[in-house]
Amino acid sequence: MATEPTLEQLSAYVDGEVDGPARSDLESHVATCSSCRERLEGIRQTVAAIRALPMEAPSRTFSIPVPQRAGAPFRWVRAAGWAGSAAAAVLVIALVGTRLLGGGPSTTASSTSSHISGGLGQGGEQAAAPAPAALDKQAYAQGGTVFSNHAAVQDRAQASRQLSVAADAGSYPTSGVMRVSVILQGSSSSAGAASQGLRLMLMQGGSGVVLADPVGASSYNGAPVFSGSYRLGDLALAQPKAGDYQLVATWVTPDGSGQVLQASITIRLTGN
Amino acid sequence: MDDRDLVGRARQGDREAFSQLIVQYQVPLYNMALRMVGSREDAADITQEAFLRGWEKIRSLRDAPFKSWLFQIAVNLCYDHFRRGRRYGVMPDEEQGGKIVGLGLAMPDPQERAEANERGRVVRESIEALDPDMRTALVLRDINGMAYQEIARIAGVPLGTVKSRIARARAQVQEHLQRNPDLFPGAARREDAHGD
Repeated sequence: MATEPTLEQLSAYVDGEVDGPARSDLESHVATCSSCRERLEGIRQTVAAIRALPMEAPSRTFSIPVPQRAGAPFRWVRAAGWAGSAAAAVLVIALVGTRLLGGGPSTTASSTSSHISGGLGQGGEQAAAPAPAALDKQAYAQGGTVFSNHAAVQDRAQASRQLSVAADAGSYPTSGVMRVSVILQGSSSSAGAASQGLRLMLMQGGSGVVLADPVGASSYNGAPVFSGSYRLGDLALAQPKAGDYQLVATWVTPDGSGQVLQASITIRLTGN
Repeated sequence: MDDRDLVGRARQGDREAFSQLIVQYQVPLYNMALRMVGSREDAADITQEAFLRGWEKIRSLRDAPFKSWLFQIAVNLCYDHFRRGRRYGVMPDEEQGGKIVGLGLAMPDPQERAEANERGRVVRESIEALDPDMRTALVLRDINGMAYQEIARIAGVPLGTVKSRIARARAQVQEHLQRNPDLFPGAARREDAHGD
């Protein structure tokens, strides 16, 4: 590059938004210009500082209003301010912390105890989520696998409905296999995971990958249990893959209300 | 199931499909609004309003990607927020008020934690100091990780304008960080070495 790269060019280069000959020219110039290398490094450090701001989970839930009249197609009423629409809330997201079952595989408490929580409050206050019914060890020990890292959430509107998600560890190598188990209590359907509105995602920083649907494996007190084994090396995760993720299970409950239950656990990936 | 399936169903009035879209986008949308307006409460209000308007208008969505369309609604709400003269919110330390997504480990060292909080405070101040156009471009790029083309679509400006806004915003942030060399030793480099 005969001329010095501009600020815009260097900034765009950091973002991978310079292609072709322009990119080659810029790289050639930077390789021989210590001043430009310094400018480039300054931009990179600045971007790193901004990106170090943590992604936060909102302390409220978000909803769309229910129809004013059941069955009235496409006539949606606007809630009088979303905070006042508690009765109309159709999206219920409650994420609860996980607990470790005694006797499970060794996982550090810190890798499984920090989670999005609450999410049921109005006006910034957090209402206590109903405590999910405790599941016994049998629920988290299937086919010889102990699912030690688990979380559960209960439907506020229907206490018998509960979503539980579990993994067989809190930490895996990036080339490892993660086994996941999900229990849809309150469902008596034998339909597949997708048909029942179940979805699994591995999230980091507000984005992530959708996991292949788990398959129906067994039942727990009449509730369907789904399980899946995921080769972590095959997932299209951003590099570097190592880091902390949230394994998020969402269940759009099947009563047509649009209500969603969501539970998550922390998954740590280690290595490259 | 990708956006198109969900959007298609939502356009037919399928509430479950739209609820899944809410689940999918609530964290990135809320964090965009949070960094734009600075207050958790205002950011949550904007996020809620964006979903509400999205639901009301989704039948008018044709070929545009849902994500860009939704973020455009939220960005416009942020601008409305500024036009109403609302001040940039004062954020408490992240660990005091927010629920952090994706951090499974607490930093063990109190001093390290205190320094991280201080660095966060300075970065938030530097974002607050940007004008809304530059702040939008920076937040969509460096908080939400969007491509320039996507940002151009949301902001309704040419690609070159996006490139310029991001570069200038970063330069301003860097200048702000350089005033705190103890916290940001890496940023303490002369950006204008060649006097762009």
